[in-house]
Amino acid sequence: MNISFNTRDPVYLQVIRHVKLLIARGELEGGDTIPSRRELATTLKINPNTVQRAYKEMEEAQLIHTERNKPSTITSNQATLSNVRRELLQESVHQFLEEIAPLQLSVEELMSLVEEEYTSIRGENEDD
Amino acid sequence: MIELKNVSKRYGRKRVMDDISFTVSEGEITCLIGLNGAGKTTLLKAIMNLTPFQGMITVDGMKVTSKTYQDMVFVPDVLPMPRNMSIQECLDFMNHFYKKWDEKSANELLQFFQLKKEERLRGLSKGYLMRVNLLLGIASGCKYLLMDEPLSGIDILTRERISELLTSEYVDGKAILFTTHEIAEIEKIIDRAVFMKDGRVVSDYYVELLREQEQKSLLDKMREVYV
Amino acid sequence: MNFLQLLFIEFNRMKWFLLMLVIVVFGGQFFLAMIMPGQLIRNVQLDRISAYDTHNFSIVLSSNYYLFTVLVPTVVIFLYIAIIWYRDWFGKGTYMQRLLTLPIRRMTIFYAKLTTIIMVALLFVALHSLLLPLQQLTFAAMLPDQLYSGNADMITLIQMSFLEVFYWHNLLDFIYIYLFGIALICLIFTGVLIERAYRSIGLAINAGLAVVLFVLYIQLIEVSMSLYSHEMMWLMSVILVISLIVSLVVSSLLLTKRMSA
Repeated sequence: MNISFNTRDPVYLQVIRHVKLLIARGELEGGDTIPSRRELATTLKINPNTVQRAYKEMEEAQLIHTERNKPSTITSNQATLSNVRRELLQESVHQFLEEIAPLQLSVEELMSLVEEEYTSIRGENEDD
Repeated sequence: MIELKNVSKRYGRKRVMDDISFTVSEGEITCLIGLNGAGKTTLLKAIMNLTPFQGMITVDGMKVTSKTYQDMVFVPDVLPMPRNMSIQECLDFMNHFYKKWDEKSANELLQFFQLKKEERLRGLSKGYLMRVNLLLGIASGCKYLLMDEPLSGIDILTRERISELLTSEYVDGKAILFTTHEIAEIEKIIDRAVFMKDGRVVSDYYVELLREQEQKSLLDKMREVYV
Repeated sequence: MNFLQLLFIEFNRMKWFLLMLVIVVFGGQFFLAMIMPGQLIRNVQLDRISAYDTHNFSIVLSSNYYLFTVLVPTVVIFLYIAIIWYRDWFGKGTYMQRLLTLPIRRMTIFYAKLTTIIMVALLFVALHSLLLPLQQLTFAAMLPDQLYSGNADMITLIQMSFLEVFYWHNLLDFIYIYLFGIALICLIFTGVLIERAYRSIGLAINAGLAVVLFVLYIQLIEVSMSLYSHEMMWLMSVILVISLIVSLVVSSLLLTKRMSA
């Protein structure tokens, strides 16, 4: 894992978000093992207590499971995993909408713009 | 636990430490932040009984005596060993005095820091001297590690190694107190930041809480405190 | 043992310098023993001195050059009494920071440094007493037999020269001279520690103490006029022991309570 952190959000939240992102992108799947707390702290050069907090929160949200003396694994619960994907998408959309709120677009206008951009980006990607 | 109660010191009319009280706990990395002349180094030295002061400093409830030094070690900004010694001689020297000297960690850290035992201190760069300095501090087996500017004036590779070290199992359970002005490099590594200004502790934060509750980075806080 | 470890480091730090000093000093003495016969021969040839007089090794010992070879290490050792401390503060990397925070009694540092100085001084005396007969042999070998009055007894040689100061005739003298030396070193050590603890104020204190001690010394000499020599010796011994104890107590207090590094 390699994360570029910002300095104003709590580091533990940024770690959780990164794990979620990897799940959403399909880079981490249910049952995959993730690095130990120690490993993650050293490779990312972040405080071990912070990593501990991130893992604890993820355990409480049942995103990861840790059994005694074994590496932590991503949950196999598909509902939780798809929730993660949905949650991240919602977050992004929410952020996007907040950003364009001052432009006072109607839903129809917005949707057609989105559709237009979406097909153009898709087209570009297919050209590649 | 290291406890400071109303610690003060003055040079002539200038107060270098002014009624400082705080505690340093095990399992935490505490960083003393401040501009030059804020009294950070003097504070570390006061805790190590390397400078006279008024007030009370206790380590595990006791005043600092020769016995306390089995549990606390000072890593000053420059390696405090005679330059004619080799790294091996430094290791032997420390091994002789520290009952909890950790030979295994010492050997692993030699590898980690890419140091050769037979090298003489005289031939080492500032960065490599700091590597030896930290190695001796950590392998001493002391619970309390006080470091003065471990990241200043040394090469980037050494600084990276030190950051790695501070997040590794070698510092597990230790209480680490260090001074720095290289904030960017350590803000994700430390638990707690203690800001000093003109000999006083002006604020004291757990950095994750600072980010969570105030959405402020360490630098934001620093600007607030010093500008 | 902690003390021996510190002592080892002290010697380790100065071993090359010490070796150099030994070579220069004793090399110089052997050099004198070798060239002075040549000078004698030349002086005889030039009729400056009688060809029928004979000479022995004391002519070397009484030369100013020989005095110089003894003064050099004496002065160096004397300077080293202060340097041995200041070096640990002002050398590259403040070794004093390590010394003061070692898990040992801080006076151990003091005793290690004291022992270093004493041992270096003894080393020079011991080496000299071993090499002196060889120096005489060198002198004899370089001088034609008709000019040589024969080997002299070492004790006589020493007693006839300034070297007497460094050697002793009996145990009591030995103890007395070395007690004096140790007390003096300790007092200088204490002076250094006073300066280290109070800096410029410490220097003023030291200057004051030096004046007081000097006045006391003058007074003592006046008093000594009316005393028998053995009474004088007892009086001096008592004074030395007292100053030694005061010096140790004050140094211990300064080291544990007032040191900065």
